[in-house]
Amino acid sequence: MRRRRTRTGGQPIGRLVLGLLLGVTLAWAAPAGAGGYADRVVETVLPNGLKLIMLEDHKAPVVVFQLYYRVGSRNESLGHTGLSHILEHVMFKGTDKVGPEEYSKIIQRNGGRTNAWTTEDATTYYATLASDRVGVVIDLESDRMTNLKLTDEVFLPERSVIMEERRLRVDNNPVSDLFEQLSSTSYAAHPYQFPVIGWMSDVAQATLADALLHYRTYYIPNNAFIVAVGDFDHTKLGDQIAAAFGPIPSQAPPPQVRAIEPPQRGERRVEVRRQAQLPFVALAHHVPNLRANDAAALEVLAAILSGGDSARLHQELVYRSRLAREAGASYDYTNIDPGLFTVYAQPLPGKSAAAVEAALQHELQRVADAEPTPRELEKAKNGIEAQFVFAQDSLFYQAMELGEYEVAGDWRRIDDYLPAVRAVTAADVLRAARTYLRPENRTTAVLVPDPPVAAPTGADRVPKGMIN
Amino acid sequence: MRTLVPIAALAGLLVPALATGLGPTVVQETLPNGAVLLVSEQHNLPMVLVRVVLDAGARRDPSGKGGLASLTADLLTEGTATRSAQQIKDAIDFIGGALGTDADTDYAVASLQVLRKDLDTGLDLLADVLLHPAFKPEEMVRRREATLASIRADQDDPTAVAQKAFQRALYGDTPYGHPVEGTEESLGRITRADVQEFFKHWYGPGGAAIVVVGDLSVAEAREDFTRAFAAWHGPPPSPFVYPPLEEPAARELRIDKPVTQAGIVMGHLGIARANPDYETIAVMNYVLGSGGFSSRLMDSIRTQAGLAYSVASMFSANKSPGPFEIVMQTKNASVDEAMARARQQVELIRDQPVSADELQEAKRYLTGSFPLRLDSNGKIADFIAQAWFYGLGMDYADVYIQRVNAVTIEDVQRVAQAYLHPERFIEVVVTNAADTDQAPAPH
Repeated sequence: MRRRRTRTGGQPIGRLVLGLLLGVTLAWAAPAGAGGYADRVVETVLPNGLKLIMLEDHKAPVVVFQLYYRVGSRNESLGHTGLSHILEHVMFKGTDKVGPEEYSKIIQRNGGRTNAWTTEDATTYYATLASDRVGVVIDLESDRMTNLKLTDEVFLPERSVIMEERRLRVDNNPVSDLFEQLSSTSYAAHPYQFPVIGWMSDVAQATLADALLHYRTYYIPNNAFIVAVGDFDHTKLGDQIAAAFGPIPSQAPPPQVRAIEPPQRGERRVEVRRQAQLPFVALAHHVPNLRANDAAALEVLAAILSGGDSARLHQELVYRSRLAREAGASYDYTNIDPGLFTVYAQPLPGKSAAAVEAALQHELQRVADAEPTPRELEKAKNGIEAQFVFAQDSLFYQAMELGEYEVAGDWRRIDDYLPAVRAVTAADVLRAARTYLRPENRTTAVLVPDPPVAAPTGADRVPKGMIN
Repeated sequence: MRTLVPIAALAGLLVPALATGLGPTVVQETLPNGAVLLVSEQHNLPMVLVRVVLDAGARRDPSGKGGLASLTADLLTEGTATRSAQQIKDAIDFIGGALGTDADTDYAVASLQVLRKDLDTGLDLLADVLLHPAFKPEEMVRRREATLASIRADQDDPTAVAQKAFQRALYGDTPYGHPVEGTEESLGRITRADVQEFFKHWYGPGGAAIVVVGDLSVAEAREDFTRAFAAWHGPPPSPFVYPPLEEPAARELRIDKPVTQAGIVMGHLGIARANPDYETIAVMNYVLGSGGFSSRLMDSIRTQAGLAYSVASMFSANKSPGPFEIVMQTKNASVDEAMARARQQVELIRDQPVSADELQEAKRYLTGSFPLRLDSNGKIADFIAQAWFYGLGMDYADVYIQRVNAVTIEDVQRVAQAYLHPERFIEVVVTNAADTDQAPAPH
């Protein structure tokens, strides 16, 4: 229910699809949450500006180590989109000490897992290792913070890889294509309009010099922080990190993003016509982020709309009226700059995008017309509280939560989350819906299958056997 | 009746120092109705996870009725004798929990995740959906519609299209030959009576295991689960026998689709989970194509040539032999080069011994990363469920490490030659024929 980044378009993208195991798994995703951290987290800032955020959790002999650089597509510009993500990829091309792609091999040789991802706001590198091997990633990361070695011989094939990644994620995924257009239409002045992976023509023309300039500008200790969660002694780990990263000099802070999205004064629409099996509809609204008083009410509102199959969007669009195969809402709670509150649905075969759009509008109107019922409010809060506990089952997820809050300003804000949610009233939810989910503040994106899908075959024709 | 399996614990847990193994401490018992209860106490968080594992996977689908197992599993939470679908969803959402049922190729799983304080409510719901599903006709219509829509949406993904065609080409009409969710044709043939019959046969306690992980004692688990499932009765399911399967001859299928990037699947019959070479194959396949950037396929196709973002090889080790597959995506114009490189790597690992470095790296990753597979309650529950279903033993974590450590260079070459057969490759390419400049014809 609480998805901070848009469903498909703005999901974090990384250099490798996750998963390295042979055989089968019974996957059951662990959900979201946060809180109670200030008493347990230790924060240190090295003289060069590098911040360490350490949380001891001794339930398993494992350490999650994540290094965040405060740079993402938010820091990019027209003609140069996708650079942060390109840099993420080429960071694995080695230093004087470590050969191209050796980084992953060294981590894996030590029984660890590693990957990296880029979002609008940040670039993150991580390794998960047995507790006694954490020194390996500390050495590798401190080395490549300053000593990256790049040549065209390694840069150019990697650029081709990223073009393949874009074909995979966007060209072969109509819904992802639509969300890209939704973002680029929602924002006029702010770089959140750019896809994290970059426009194809920008990626195709990116140069080694572009990547190196980005590296020298943003990959400095005073623009980075480390989150470690797991089985360690924070004093020892802090000393180890300080010894490795301490000698790296701080530098002039990178340029700050000045862009502020002006208020939207009227609905915008965008259509994507392309080969696709089914239409898709998404309605996005500009909203404030966690720094605003209304943020908790928007979180609760998102839960009322899509916190489980009993929430309004699923109940009305999927279950009761049988218009959609899926329906949901997402809120960009921890973006650095104000993000979007999006509701979306995919029509069932034979149902029109127009009918689904009208149904989504109707649900937005309902939350703006009347307060949620006391039971709906309580259910939404119970869900958020339970997910806060479940989230702590995963060391990795806890590290990611701390990292996201820190990117958005301060990891300590995690502890404000549950109290703020608990304090939300039905009147707050109504006010938030009226303030932000207005048509004038809305961008509507519609995926139109082209050529048009043939007349419905299976869906409306119920075989006799089904109802006997 | 009660068998204690004291396999030790992860370091750092509040468990006596006599623990020496790597896996979680699991207590195994048999409930009066025949279901196996597997409990691992984990008191670090006030939560409880339950997985009920049943021998009710898609391999049990009758011929021509692919999707029956999946539809049956999906319908469990869509209404019972006393609760409507909405009441079930509302009740679980109100406690912030998760209740789900899902069929896979070999098994079906009902899962519950709740806060400790809500265990009674959650257990009541879980038992109700497992014991008294209503399979209401209107819910069947809804489910079927949703599944058909999802099958339709999958057609946008060239790799998904290739995988389905590969599965069909490899297994034909035998149990592994259809997608778990079924096809547009097979779903139309499934009746309510089929679902009821399927449920009656395969959802009894006799062949089931209940895995419980979390903040409760073994005694509490025994009492709670015995009570919740007291009315659950039924004989063990009849053993599954895979019908005779003749491995098909090599062939290439090209499926024309207006895409800019092709989806490619190449492979042949692989291994069953019980294969004694499983761990040796894991080492070999790590070097070939499952070891991420350490793998040869990734190095050749991505790092050296920049032809793909994702390329991997995998053995799906099911109860019966699952497929061996190499899966990748590349722009239409590079299809032939990428496939040639993949074939070349398969030949190479058969023809020449892997290096000592490669072997050591694979072994160190596979053994060293094992604790990472057990670092949350969710992962512990999945591990226990798999160890039980595939008969690996609750001490499998230690067995696995020993077996991987024992693998030699000669073993790797032996399994490469025994289990990789490029001359039998079924190759499916979903691509834009005009773009690849290649006639869509078999070779």
